Amino acid sequence: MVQFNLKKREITLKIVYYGPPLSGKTTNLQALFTQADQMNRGRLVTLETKDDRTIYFDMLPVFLSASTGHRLSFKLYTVPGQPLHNTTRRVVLRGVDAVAFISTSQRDQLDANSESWANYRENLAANHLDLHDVPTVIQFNKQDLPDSLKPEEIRAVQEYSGLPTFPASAIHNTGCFETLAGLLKRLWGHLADRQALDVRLGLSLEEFEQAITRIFGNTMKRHG
Amino acid sequence: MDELNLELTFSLADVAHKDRDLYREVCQSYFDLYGVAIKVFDDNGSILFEVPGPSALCQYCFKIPPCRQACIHLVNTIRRDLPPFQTVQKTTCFTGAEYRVAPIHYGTDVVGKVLFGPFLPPELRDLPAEFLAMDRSIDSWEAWEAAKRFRRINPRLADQIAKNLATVIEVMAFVGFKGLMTTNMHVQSLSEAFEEINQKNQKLESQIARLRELNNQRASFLAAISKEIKAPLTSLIGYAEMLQEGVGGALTEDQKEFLKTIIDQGESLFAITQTIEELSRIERGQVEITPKPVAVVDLLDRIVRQGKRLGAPRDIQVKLIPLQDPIPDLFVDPDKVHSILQRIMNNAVKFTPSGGHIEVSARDDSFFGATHNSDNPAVAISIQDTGIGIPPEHVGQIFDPFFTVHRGPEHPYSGTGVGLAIAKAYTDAHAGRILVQSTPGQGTTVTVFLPTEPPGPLEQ
Ligand SMILES: Nc1nc2c(ncn2[C@@H]2O[C@H](COP(=O)(O)OP(=O)(O)OP(=O)(O)O)[C@@H](O)[C@H]2O)c(=O)[nH]1
Ligand SMILES: [Mg+2]
Repeated sequence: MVQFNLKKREITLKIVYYGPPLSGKTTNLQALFTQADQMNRGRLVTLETKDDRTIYFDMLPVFLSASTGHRLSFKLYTVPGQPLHNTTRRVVLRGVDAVAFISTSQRDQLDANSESWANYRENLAANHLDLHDVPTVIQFNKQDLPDSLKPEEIRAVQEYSGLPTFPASAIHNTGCFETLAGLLKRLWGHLADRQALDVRLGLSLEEFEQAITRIFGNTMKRHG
Repeated sequence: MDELNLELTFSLADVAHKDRDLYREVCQSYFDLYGVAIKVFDDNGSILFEVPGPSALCQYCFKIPPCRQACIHLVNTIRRDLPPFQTVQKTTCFTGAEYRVAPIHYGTDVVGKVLFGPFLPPELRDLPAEFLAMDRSIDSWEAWEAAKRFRRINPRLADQIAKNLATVIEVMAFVGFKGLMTTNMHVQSLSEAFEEINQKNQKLESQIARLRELNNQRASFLAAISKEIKAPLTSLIGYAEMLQEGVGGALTEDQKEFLKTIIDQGESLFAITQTIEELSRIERGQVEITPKPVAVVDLLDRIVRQGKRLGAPRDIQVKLIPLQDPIPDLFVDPDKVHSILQRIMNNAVKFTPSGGHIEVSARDDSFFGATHNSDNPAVAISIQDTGIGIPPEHVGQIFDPFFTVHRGPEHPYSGTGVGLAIAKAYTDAHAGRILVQSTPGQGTTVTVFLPTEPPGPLEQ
């Protein structure tokens, strides 16, 4: 749910990293944290972990400034993937604006992806939301592992679901920015359609994309 | 139900207040290092912490009205304005002294600031002419002497010090707030879990109540049916007996034999109806237990005699194992206990093949108590047979009155259920306990634990 703060002239958008246990949601946020320009991000909040497993959530705040003087602020959350923490997942998902679904590319873990996807749909419904309301992209993480899903298999998922897919290897810092950029682009289009946010903030899709790329410029440098 | 709240609203004043001594210690250590005054403000411009430095020049200025005004104006500006995200601002006083203002961040917000100063830049050799011109009463020598009390700090270093202190405070606040959020999540998820358990409990309780109700209905339904069956059954047996006695004319030997079977089966059916009625009375709490002291030996003698009678036709030996030590009297209803033992004995005989053995024994079992949860001393009475035994998976079920019904009539244990259910119900009514140990093919030992004293205050 887009939040407007008049006093601070700030618009806050909530992005949630969802997905099965150990798929690399936290790792994605860590990668983004190291890439982001420190002028545009806050500290990465990691709330209580047990053996490095998320119990509550992680949160990375990022913002960009529009020429109108407004601030566009993104809060990137992860959910805990373990089945046991469903209540927390449901709560973290409340008021979400867009979701990066981090699935794993490991062939023997595909059931976990499906289970988590079903759980995502359930928790959306529990929050009175629907896939149409929430721009979603799918990341296939851990591409570095042997026998991981092949590009054509990932493309098949994209064709079947109609959702953008992104291969990634979060632990090596590849694909994380592309996933987020793809998601934010989709979200921006969605908000332009529904709330004309682009016009109101004087921020076209193209300018928006440029701003995002600037913030995560470290990636761009890395890719040459 | 209140839903979980993800994030609390951050307030530097609240977070810092909890650890104020630590924050003071940090500010003091910066002062000790640089000798420059330090102030920490929240986002409303209220001072949270402060370590004052040399103030001779300020005091001097405050006595001179135009300077005082300029000073107040400067202080107000510093107080009011929040520095932008990730910057260090330089503010110069009309006296030529300098300040640095560094933002304190939380997330992507500026939530407070650090004020470092006044200090003198190293190159300042004289007080600014504009300052000296502010009032005729200003004595340049006296003012300069006062100004020289300020430390001299290199501007670049001053930037770094201010930023550094702001970062330290920021990190302390970050960690403190994280702890707060975690506790908040703990508490909220605990209460959510508690709420869920409560709801489940309520559901279970209502299910239990429903089951009880069904059980009662079933018991009274069975009792009603068996009353209905009893009348026609009585006349059926009656007529069969009349036939047997020759009232309807002479009978062949075969016919007599058939009639005998009809009467025997009719009578066992009649016994079942009585048992069902009794069980239903027990279940509905209509059976009264009148306990009194009863000698164990008397009970045993009686049951052994009965067992011998029952076992004689099939050559089953029933014997009493002599009691080792004197055993305390039971405090029970003798008729009900006899009924318990009788039903156990009936089963033992029924399932022991011809030529088998049944042993009856008793021991003082005060140490363990009649029930697991009472220290009411007990006596254990055992009836041990060499019968077919009960497979372990059925041991728990034999007290279920409908056990044999579930199993079907062809089942070898058919007919045990209702009788043992009564034994169990009576034992429960005495706050006692029945233990069944069985090895299929070798035999079964049924032990009844019964109290030797009136129930303690806990049970009442
Ligand atoms: N090989 C490989 N391992 C990865 C990759 N990304 C994450 N991992 C590893 O996978 C494990 C789990 O990563 P996390 O980021 O903690 O996973 P998570 O999705 O946050 O897990 P939960 O918080 O329990 O839901 C860690 O050991 C990571 O180092 C990747 O791209 N390749
Ligand atoms: Mg995690």
